Amino acid sequence: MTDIFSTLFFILLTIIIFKFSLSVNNKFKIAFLNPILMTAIIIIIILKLFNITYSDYYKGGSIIISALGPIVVVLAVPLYKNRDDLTKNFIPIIGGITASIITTFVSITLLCKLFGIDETIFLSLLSKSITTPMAVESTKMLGGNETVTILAVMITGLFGAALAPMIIRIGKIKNNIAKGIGIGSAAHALGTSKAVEMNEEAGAASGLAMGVTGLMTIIVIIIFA
Amino acid sequence: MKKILKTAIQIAIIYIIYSIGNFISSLISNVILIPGNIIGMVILLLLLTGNVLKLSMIEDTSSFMLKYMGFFFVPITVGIMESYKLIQDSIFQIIIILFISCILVMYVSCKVTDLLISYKEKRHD
Repeated sequence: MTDIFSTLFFILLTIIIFKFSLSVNNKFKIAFLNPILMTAIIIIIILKLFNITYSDYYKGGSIIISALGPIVVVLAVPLYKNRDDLTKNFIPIIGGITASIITTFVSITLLCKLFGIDETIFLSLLSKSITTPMAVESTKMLGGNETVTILAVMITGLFGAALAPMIIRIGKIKNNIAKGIGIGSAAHALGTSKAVEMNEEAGAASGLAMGVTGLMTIIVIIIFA
Repeated sequence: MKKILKTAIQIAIIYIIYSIGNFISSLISNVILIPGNIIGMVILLLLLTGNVLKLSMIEDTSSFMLKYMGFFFVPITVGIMESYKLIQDSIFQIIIILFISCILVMYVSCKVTDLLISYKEKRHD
């Protein structure tokens, strides 16, 4: 009984804090006040204050996480609504995604060399731009550490969602499909949640980019690993 | 009451498609790993394109889910409080690497797509 109570309590707590973070975010519009990160930080502080472990919180958290699968399925809806524009731009989309994968591999390789990061962590960071289950599989093939990958995917997603509006503004990206392709191929589902907020076309392109980038990354790794 | 029933049916449709995606994913996992949710996305797209499923049959629930998509990432983000210990020694370097790489990747990808689309549109005019 206490289990059911605490599960419901943690779900409710997450909803209330997220609602609060959303309204703060709407008022101030600061990139790093990302409502996801803000909610997580408040929850971590509460857990630490009351000496609650993550596994206790996870009882409620895992129920929220389990809804993530069906949400990715639903990304087919914006994809369907914008299918004409997307098929019309097939070559630019594949071009943009290819550029994204090359940039990921090159930048991670060079930056890890520069910072003297050890081999295992380097291999775990190569798949940081793609959705978690695919990233974990890529890391297994490369011989990296899965937990490091999950962490890197998470951090990348948060950065991607927070930085997307700024990158688009400074880069003077006008086309909505181009915005979505950049966001989805750099920051998977978490970035896509930001693209969906911008407009439907960007959301559709981002959802598409997320799937294709993951698939192409795995294929590249299968060929070269 | 009717609205609750309608929402329940919409959730059920989405969930069934997701489960089929997971099933197919496990069938082909020996050949290539594609997550069940990505396969589910393709299935739903095919059902909509093939007019098997009308958009109105799932639209309310799906737009609600997409609107609050970020919420569902909160618990995994909270999980960082446990897993960061693994990279404690080089955590700052890793965060800087991910930060720089994320900006580069997103910028290059946006820009390349944008340039290719405007090049294509110019050629058509």
